[in-house]
Amino acid sequence: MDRDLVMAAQRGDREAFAILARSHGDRMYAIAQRILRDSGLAEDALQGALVTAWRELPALRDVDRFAAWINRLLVHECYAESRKRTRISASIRVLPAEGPAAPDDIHSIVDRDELERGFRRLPEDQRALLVLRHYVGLEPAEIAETMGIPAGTVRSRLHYAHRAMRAALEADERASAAASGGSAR
Amino acid sequence: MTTFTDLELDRILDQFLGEGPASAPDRAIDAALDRIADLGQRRTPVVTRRLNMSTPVRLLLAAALVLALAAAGAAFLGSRPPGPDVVPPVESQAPSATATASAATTAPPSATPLAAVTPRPVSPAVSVMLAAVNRADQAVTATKGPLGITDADQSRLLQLIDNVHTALDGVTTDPSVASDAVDAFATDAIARTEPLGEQYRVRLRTAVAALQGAVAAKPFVPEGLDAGTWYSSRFPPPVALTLPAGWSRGLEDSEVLALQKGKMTLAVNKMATEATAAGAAKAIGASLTLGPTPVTFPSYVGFTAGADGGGTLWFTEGLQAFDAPKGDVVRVWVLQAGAKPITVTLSGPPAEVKAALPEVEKMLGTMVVGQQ
Repeated sequence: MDRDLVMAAQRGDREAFAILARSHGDRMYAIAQRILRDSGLAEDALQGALVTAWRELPALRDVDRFAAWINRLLVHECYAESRKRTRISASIRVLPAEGPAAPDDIHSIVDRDELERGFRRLPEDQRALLVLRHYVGLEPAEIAETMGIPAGTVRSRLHYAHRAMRAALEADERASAAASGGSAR
Repeated sequence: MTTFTDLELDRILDQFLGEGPASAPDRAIDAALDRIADLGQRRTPVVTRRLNMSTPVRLLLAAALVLALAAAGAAFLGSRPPGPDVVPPVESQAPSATATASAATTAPPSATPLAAVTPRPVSPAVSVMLAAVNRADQAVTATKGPLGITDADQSRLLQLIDNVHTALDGVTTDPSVASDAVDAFATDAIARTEPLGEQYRVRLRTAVAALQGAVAAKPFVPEGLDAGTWYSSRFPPPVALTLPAGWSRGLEDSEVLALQKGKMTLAVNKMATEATAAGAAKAIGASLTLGPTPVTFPSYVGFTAGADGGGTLWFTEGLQAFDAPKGDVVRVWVLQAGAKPITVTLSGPPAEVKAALPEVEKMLGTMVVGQQ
């Protein structure tokens, strides 16, 4: 069905594109929100990706790769939004909330805040790879196709991203152990 | 200390990244579709079949194509009468075969840059509705400020405004119907002002005229903004501002609406502190260079203050703190607009802020704050 819609949209059929936008929009927003960690920026990235997709759609040669193509546009929009946010809000900081966060499943292994902090510290390209790998569930070869980079580069960046997350989690754990004066588990 | 195995780390990341929203807000997709409504597509030749040609043949074909284009161009230019605005063609060296082949396969540049695309309102009817309701709120707010009317008169005016809301309730599908509702209200409202004093009648007639001439506002979009009226769709309450050219929307979320021009940022947010001059002074800090002093706009009253950058300026409801960079200057307005005060902060290099103050004050004069 996507194939027919993509071909129609390539010919300028706005209704076909609207159907595509609505069928892919939820997933695109979810990806953007996870990369950017901000719903407003994710909305902007989604809008930007859809507008770019409409403009550039006639140049898409392989209509069967529409999903990968539009996800690539989205990831690049996420990069742009991330840089924009950095420029604007360099001076906006979130005050630390008092008290511990509510427990959840992840708490049985690590603190969610540690994960959040570690993830936010990652470069945007590594965040995108982790989201495509762990949220979308793509294999490195599929990520390579989506991102337009060699599979070897994907594996290498994923390795660094995993290593950075592991280091962040372990560093936070050391810090909290030192702060509490107890031994780390 | 715990060391995580690869499998554990995978599981942790699967679970962590699995959290979060799974669907997009309708407004995000609607806004994108609205933006493309007037937007053409970049047309490039779609290669449907690759010809199996040898490199020399391709180079020859590319060169022939360039020659044909050059000949066509020369014929076209030669057929035009020379005029003062015709730029003579610049002679260039013959392109290399490699460059020629590359040029023949490269997509032409976009005719219209994305940033220059003008968005349309999400829905004309909703825009009319929003503008009308906001103007009605403006009328109410105005009565609380410079007029200083009695509670009884204010109640009567509030009732009139309620009539607008009732008349427009559900009328969001056809702008002409919404306009008719406003016109019907106008007749009724003006008749009801007769028992009031002249100053109230003038004020209400002005508000009604504004209602009838309500401009179609557009929701802020994440790009350069054309001159016109724009309103916030993510930052509640809806805040409408009529902007001159040159501003862009930097950021909009539930905490702040940030506009930018040059190196300046104009941020609109709801104040977490008490909306009094003392509260503002406390929030802004001790290093005030101005005020707080009372300020009056056509629709709002409040106070303004100035400060040097380098310290915490304000806190939002969500406890985000804004620290103006050192070296910048800050001008803040705290306006009583609805249930909660609205804080508007202009920060940037001193010269830019000084030059922009008249323009910003004019913008604030047009500000309309919807219901919270």
